[in-house]
Amino acid sequence: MQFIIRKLFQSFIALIVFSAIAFGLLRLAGDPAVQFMTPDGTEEDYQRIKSRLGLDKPVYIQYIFFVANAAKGDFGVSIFTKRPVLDSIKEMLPNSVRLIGVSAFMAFIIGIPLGVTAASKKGKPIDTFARVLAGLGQSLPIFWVGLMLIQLFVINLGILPSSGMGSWRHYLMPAFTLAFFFMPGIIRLLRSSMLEALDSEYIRLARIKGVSEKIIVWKHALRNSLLPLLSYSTIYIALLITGAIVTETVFAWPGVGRLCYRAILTNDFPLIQGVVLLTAVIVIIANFITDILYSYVDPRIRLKH
Amino acid sequence: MSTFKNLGFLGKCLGVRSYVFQFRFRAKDFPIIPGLIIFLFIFMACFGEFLAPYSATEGNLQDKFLPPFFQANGSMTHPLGTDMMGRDMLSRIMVGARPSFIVVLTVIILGGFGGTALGIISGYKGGTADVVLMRVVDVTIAFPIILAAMLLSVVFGPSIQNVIISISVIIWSRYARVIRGEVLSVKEKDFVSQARVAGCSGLRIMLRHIFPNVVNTMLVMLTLQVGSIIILEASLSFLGAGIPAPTPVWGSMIAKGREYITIAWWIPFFPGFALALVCLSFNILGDWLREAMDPKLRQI
Repeated sequence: MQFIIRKLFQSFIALIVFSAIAFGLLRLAGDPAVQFMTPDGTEEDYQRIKSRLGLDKPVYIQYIFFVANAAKGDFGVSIFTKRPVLDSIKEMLPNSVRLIGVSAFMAFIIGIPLGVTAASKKGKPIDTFARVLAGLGQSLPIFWVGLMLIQLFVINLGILPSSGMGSWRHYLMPAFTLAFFFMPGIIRLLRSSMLEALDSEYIRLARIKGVSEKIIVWKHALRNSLLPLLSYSTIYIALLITGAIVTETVFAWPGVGRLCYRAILTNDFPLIQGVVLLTAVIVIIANFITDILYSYVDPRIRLKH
Repeated sequence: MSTFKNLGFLGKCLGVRSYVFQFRFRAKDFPIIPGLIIFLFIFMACFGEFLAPYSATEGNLQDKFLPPFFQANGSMTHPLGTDMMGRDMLSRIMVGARPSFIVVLTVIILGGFGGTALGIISGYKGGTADVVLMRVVDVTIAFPIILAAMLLSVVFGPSIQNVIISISVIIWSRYARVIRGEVLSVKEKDFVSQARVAGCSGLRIMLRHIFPNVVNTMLVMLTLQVGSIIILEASLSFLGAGIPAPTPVWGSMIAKGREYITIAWWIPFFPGFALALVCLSFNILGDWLREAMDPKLRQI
């Protein structure tokens, strides 16, 4: 219980730190009052605009307003689309979630069996294949992989659509690209923790007892090897978000990542700030849940603190 | 006077003698081809500008979209073809090594070494400094770097400094945490207490006794992370939040080449291929280093 409170407190601090940084950057990006001024404005107009925007109040009061607005869901209006930032995000978020969901599913479906087999058949061709795949996934730039897939399947073979969302065909390339980026972590981690597990005493006992190798690998060893995957979830989430932003840009997938890209192109600060803040909140909450889950599954973590 | 000696030892530790090269001679199967590629990368980063056959920034518009030498209409005058402005691809790729290398080097020094130093101090001294530092680490460690970099680039405009700052600021925490963990076990060893009894100052102990024992971990982490730093910088440049024009950067070459992929596939292909080769080499090197430095595998 004390652990949960500590983690909650840490998450809260993280939220405050990030919102303060985002707020500080907003102020650095320029004086908002100037943006509303007409060329023939006077000093009075300037002061009037300032007081209307609440800029004449002390900085910490402004910050509180900023946080209060954010909590209400008001992140300002996008410079480019002229609509409230939250609306744009709400529109695009489900698409991103779909892409990330399908990719993660693909990555696990391919990665887990591959990692397990690579460990249980260490040294054999399947092991080499898994390690090569993991190495490539970590080294090939994700946007390049996406582009080459487009080159192959759209331009040369013409069997898949190059962009946008629609049928199941539209999912194939983007999901595979993101999964390819995400898989190596799973494969490597699972392989190393399986290797450790397969060497342990309780597995040796099971072998002596005569339990079939298949059950040993897929039931006993696997269960205990899945745990490090959970503890690495925090890193995986960051990886997925990074990959999703790039993948959506390459395939013109109508998601939050592509929104970011447009915001960068058009220097749309409210939009970028809103997306980054929202993503930071999601990441912090997800990390918190992961930490709690992990401590629940592995009591040693709870007791160590 | 003693600081001088400490710094001298630090130099010895990192570079010429002892630790790294010891393992190089002990371990066989040094990956030669990745090593060569990395050497080539660093060499191009330093001297590419002078060795490139053509200018990397100015091109002849009459020569645009020439294909690479192995395709029809291609020739060895432009072995990798030309881009949409008639610039030679080979020269651009050679010169493009430099910004990536600068980013990687600076991030390694600031983030890697900085994070290690803070981890050593935090682990050895303990106390409130340790607690505070680890809280900061907890907050930053899992944050997606790309978001921070995008935010900075929109506020201050894309630049190489922004890339370096945003990557370093998040990456140091990973080193700090891992190194601190190692330091906690190293500082319990006998030679540390003996050094303290002999009257060594804290700084001397950290530099001369603790650092050499964690430098292995740091080196392995560094080589394994270089790949992802390069890809991160390339991704940022691809999105437009990284190093801006007119500097030739592999990431932005791919981004611009995207539009022309139907007529000139080589414009986005070759920079990406260069990126992939360099990253792959660093990853293979990192794997080799990790196995070579693993005490369990060491031969007596």
